[in-house]
Amino acid sequence: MASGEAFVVEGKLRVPYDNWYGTLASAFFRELRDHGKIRGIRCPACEKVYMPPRSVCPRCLGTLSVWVDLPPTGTLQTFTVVHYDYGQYYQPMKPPYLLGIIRLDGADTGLCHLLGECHLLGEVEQQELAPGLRVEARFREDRKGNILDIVYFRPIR
Amino acid sequence: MEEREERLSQERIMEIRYRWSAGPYLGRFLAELRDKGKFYVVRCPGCERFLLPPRIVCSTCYTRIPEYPDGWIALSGRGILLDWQRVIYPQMDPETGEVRDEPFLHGTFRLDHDLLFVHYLGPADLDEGRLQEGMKVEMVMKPQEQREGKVTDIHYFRIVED
Amino acid sequence: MAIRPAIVGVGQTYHRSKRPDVNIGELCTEAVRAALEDAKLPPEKIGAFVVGNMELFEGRYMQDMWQTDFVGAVGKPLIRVTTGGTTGGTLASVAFEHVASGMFDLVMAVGFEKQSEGDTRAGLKTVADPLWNRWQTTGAIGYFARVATFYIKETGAPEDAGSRVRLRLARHAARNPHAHLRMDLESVDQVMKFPYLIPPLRQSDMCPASEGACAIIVASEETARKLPRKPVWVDDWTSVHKEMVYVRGGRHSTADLEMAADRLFRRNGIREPMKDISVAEIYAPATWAELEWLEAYGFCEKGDAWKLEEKGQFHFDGPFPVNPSGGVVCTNPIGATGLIRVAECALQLRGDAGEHQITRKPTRGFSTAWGGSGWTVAHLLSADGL
Ligand SMILES: [Zn+2]
Ligand SMILES: [Zn+2]
Repeated sequence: MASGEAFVVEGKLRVPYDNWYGTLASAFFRELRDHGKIRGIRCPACEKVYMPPRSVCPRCLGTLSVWVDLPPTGTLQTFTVVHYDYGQYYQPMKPPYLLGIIRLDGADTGLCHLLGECHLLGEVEQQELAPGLRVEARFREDRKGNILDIVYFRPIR
Repeated sequence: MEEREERLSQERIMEIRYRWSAGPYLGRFLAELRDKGKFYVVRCPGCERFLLPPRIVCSTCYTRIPEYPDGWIALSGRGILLDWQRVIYPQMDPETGEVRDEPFLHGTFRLDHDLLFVHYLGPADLDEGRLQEGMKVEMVMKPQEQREGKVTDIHYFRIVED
Repeated sequence: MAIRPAIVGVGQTYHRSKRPDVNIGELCTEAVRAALEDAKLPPEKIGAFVVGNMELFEGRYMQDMWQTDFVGAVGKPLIRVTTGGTTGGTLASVAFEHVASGMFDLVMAVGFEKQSEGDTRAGLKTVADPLWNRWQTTGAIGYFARVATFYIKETGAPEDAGSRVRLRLARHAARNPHAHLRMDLESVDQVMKFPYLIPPLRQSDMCPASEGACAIIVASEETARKLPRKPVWVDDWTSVHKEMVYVRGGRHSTADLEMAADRLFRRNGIREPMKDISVAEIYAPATWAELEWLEAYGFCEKGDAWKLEEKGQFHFDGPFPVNPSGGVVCTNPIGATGLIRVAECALQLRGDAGEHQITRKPTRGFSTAWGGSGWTVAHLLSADGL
């Protein structure tokens, strides 16, 4: 090794994990997988409907158990275009893709999700997007019990 | 309420690549080990302790350690077996996510200048029954083409018969 | 002079090897609610939060982002502390410092771990330096096998000394409803039938990989005196970071434990630790470490701990109770483990430990956390009205 030359050790971490959703989120994802239905949860004390649902209210720390059926329709609150490609593992698809925050009708919180695969299906063009746009969920055929069972949201035509 | 219902989880393998900068001290140590099979330590000019592995500053007297080759000492690679463990508990390699099932021997060695070092004890067919505290040991390097600039370029320590 | 902190509420979950019924946030909420209930405080009273775990076990990073909602910290000051095995102990120290500084009246510390979500063996190996020994380390089990080897060699302890520690801790854990491993063990011979992991270390000598959470609430002296619970006073705390040693070379490697205890005992006029301290909840992940470390803390002479163990001195109803909760060898949700030591000490000093309450009069408690290859956190607590 000559003076000034940097010695670099190449390495990696490759470790298996298995993260549990917990009782409440398991129920949400089973409903989504088995019936293609989206459910939120209401805090009676704070009068808020959380989507995605959670078992503990972040405002009052109360236990939440009142399910609310939500329609697959909602309103686009904001959006962005992802161009940067940082690897398959961390991204739902190959960029570019559209990402939006959608508040489902009847919910008080917004869900961050994909907006129509603009480069594959052409169901939405970036030019069409604006806050307030009415959108609906398109569900996957072979649902697996995770958030990508909602393939994406698309404008209601 | 839904105690007996199916509980979902997300199984995944997290794989991340890294490039670790070794710096001029550990880098030189690893380069000398890989290229020449030499095992270097440094001596602190302030408190005269031997430091393994070499580092930029003495952690107790804060004296700056000179860069190679000033005060760098190559160990003989020979030492004494202090104790050993037969590792029968399966080990997971965090670099591959694979489990190493076959048992192996791991020893603590006293090298030159009373420096202690933990490493594999070999070769693979070494009979544990004949091991004794105080036996002489010697460092065995991997063949040149298999070395990668890691401490595991030292294949194992073997027992030296008197 | 700094403000004197007091522990005014403690809570923990039950601990198991797997909790698929809750996610990480929900697990924390269980402990938080238990602590609030214990302190009889509503969540809005808490002024600041300290949260932590050892994230490489779950592979989920920046856990504070997700914990905030589940501990009641939305819109409040919260910091994450993650110091490996000592995380729980450091959480307590930082909460004490928040109060001692005068900036906050009521602070909550929350620690958790959910080890079934990852691989503990792989996680622990990533702690080792990839430029040095990550590729040939044998992790915690290899480390404690060497502790056992050295302890036997240096003190002449018999091979069943570790099993006697397990027997005591199993008896303690059987009385503690929160403990994870509540093994029904009756004799040393029974313990000696457990298989070896790395001889002389048996499966029964090591801690389990647990899932669970713990929370404590710390108050300033003025606030503590107004609250319904009997306060437990925090007299002193410290941490010692030893020089990074790559190889365990016998006694010198317990330097951090020795320094931490010595510093606390000196500063607080403790000359006869076994007399002046009535209960110890120490972080020892293996039975053999418990023996070696009781000596390192200065509770007894070097080489004497195994003899005192044989005489039953460390039982919860004995003269010097050690880990009446069952200790780390029975329950180890890593990021919570150090905090459980503090919480259990506080319960003992309040007289609220229930079935595992020590019979000796509770005066002062000593709790520790240990991690990495040279890190000790230690706390000194005292009962109210001493
Ligand atoms: Zn609420
Ligand atoms: Zn020095």
